[in-house]
Amino acid sequence: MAVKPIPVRVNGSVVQPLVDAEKPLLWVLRDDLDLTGSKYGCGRAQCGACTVHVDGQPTRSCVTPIAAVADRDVQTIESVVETSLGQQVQRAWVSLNVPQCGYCQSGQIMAVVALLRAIPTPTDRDIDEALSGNICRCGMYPRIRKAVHEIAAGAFQ
Amino acid sequence: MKSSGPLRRRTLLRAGVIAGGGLLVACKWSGGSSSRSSGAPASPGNPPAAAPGPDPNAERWTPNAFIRISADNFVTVIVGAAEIGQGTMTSVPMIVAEELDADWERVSWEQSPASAITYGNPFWQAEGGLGELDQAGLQITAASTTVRGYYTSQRQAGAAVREMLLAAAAEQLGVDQNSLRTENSHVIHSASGTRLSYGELAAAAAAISPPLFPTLKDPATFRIIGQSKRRLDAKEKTDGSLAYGFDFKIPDMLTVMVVRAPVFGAPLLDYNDSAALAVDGVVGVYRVPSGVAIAARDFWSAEQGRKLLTTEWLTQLGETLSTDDLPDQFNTRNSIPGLIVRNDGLVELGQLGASQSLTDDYHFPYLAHAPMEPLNVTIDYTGSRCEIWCGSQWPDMDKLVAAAILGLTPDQVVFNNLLSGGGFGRRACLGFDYIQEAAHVARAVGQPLKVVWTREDDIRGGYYRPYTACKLSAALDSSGKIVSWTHRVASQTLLISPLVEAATALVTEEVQTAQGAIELPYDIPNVRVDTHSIINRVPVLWVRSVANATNVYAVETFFDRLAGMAGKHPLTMRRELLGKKPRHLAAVNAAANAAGWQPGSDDGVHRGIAVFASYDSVIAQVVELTLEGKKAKLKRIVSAVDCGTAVNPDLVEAQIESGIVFALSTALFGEITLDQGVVEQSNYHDYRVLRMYQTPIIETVILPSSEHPGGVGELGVPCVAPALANALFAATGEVYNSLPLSKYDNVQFD
Repeated sequence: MAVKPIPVRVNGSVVQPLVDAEKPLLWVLRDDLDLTGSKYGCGRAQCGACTVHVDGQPTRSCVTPIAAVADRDVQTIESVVETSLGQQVQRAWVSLNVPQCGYCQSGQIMAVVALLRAIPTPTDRDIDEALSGNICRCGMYPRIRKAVHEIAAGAFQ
Repeated sequence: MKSSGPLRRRTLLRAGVIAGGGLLVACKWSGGSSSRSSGAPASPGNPPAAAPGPDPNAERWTPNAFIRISADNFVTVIVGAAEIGQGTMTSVPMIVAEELDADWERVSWEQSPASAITYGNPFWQAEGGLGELDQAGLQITAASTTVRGYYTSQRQAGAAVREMLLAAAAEQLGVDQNSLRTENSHVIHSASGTRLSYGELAAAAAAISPPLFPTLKDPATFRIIGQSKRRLDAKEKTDGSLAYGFDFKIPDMLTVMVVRAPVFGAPLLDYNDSAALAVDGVVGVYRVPSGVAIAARDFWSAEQGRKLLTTEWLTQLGETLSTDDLPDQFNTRNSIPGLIVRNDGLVELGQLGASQSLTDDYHFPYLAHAPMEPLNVTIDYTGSRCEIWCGSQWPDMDKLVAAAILGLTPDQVVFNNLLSGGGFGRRACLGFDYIQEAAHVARAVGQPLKVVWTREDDIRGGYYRPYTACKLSAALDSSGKIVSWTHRVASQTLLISPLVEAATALVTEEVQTAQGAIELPYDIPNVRVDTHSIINRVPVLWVRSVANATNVYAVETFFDRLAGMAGKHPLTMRRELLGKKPRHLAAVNAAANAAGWQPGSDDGVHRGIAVFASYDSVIAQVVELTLEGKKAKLKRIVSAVDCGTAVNPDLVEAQIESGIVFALSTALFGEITLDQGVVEQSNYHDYRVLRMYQTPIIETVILPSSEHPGGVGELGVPCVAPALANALFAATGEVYNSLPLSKYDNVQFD
């Protein structure tokens, strides 16, 4: 296995983890960088719990080799929740009792932030398309949908 | 789970004695560091965003096992039940805070230690003969018992401390206690305008004797219970900061994966670890009772190593069943009488005078829980002591099992229960599989470690809802009245491990598999329910709503077929036969009204209803769908819920929503199949669950009630599939006597 330092910008800081190039971004974040907000749920891009932003695009970090994000910009829940939009999403989530077990919510919020950046006032169909890759076993989909609409309407600015 | 046998719910008075007993044990005034064991997670029970939490260095008073008051006037509620998504860390503190008259903005939570004696749910109190355990209950979070089980004891815990604070204030101010009142964590003397905070009074209150039977509030004066408060655990669940078990780390911790038998119960013959050990990061390979454990520096290297580990199993000695064979096998079993668990009148007599009859077999597949957070156990075993961090629905038993395997006494084991990323019953495992395995691995490896399960391990790991078949028959007289009803259940026994033998006294398995059949609510003169226990080696376990999900499906869809034979509308026939069940009837009427559904209405929307009661609650649900050719579209699901006092109405609604989505997953797709013993599913791509785009509009009506709270965690599940099948039956006339519906060619969902 090719082990060499791979420079990646994570939440604004450049890091150079010395890892196998094939190691998924999720495990570099969680095990090498101690950023455990991004969750393991399936390991094959089925559930979305590991969603991060790579150059602003929602990305399943569990199937993204670290080499594929060399010299790119990775944002995780830990930094996105500090942004203005991230804070609005968090306020909406807290206010509307969106989380139950909460395990999927990092991924849901990353997907929602990416959606709202691309489409500030999404339709139900936009929401379906952007969020149907994120599983919530507690079934909080109706609350997530409602929260997205309320954020779009400016209720949590 | 339903308590039965030696365990039975006691009177509420008994719970009061417990609260009083708890009060007597721990009056202390202390300062400084956390009472939690070293290395334990700072249970992140801080109130959301704006509200600050208690200063960790503030002096504090712990008047009983459930309450801590700090000098800076924060209240921390120590919660015995587990949080698996239901909102435990909000609903239980609300109950305490109500009677304590606490300032809700200054209330936070903390997970209790694993201790049945102090923190067990009073719902599961022993009837006698279990020594100290008689004083408490099992510390198991199951059967929708958290709020209904802890409700009275937690009210009493709060009320007792409030009385102590009042007494302390009366002494300090030199006034009569009756001239004082409490409000928002303050004692107020209106005459003088004096306000003393609970924090200020705590030191003096610590010297007051706790009242054994504190006076509880008149529910009409509640100001916290009944309010839709925000969850206290929402902030850390929305910024990535909450450490679930999968995230929790201790120094020098290895990550361990286990290769388990390819078919259940097969013994390991041999393994070859040379290639696995060559993987960078892999530190060791160990034989353990459940298979071969591979210990590595991190998840990725453990996974890479495991792929290269070769194992050889004596599969012939394992379970080799194929689920394709089960329908015939279960039907054959159901062709002969089983153990009778309900017998009203004489069904043969009813059948004699019948003019029409109907008999059919229903089949339900194995199901996996598939919670979002796969199983994991972090364990630090040193030979003479052990500390465990794990999200568990049954921490006291998990702790005892680990202690037994490691040859330790229970007090040599510290079990830190973490918030779980879902459970649905998997984390209250009667086989104690994951905790046993972790203890064995810890002993073999001799270093701090975390055993992790991948999603594939989870889906293929067994402990499924058992495959179940029901045979129903009914007879109608010439007026269309149902005169006899039989319901026979064949289901696999839930008793799968020798360890479980000990638990048999706690749970009467035969009754459990008949849940939802025994409780047939309809006024029918002759009813018989009987059961068969099927034995095989596929490990099975309770899954959210247990046998109610299967039996209520059979009952409620069979009922609509009978209504069709009787020429009656399903709503009309339910109303006719629920005359003696006022709560059921009220729920049916409320759900139909909320859905705007009347017999005879024809607006192109197909509707079905189902009704059911358990957990001291009642629910009726209406499913609305449209059908174009074979293409079905779920439009809306309307529920009417009678759960007694709704402690937090919004969280009740959230639980019903959650139950509906869970039930739709199983109704539409949920199925674990085995071929020659090998599980054919492995992950969310072939064990499908509901997604955003498939989720209908969900509306929930909570019926007003001031009765003792009922459970809601499982309540939303059982009626969904039958109401859906009834809507399809109304639309197509087709019978759907097995699940999942994806197997039927005549209907397609998105």
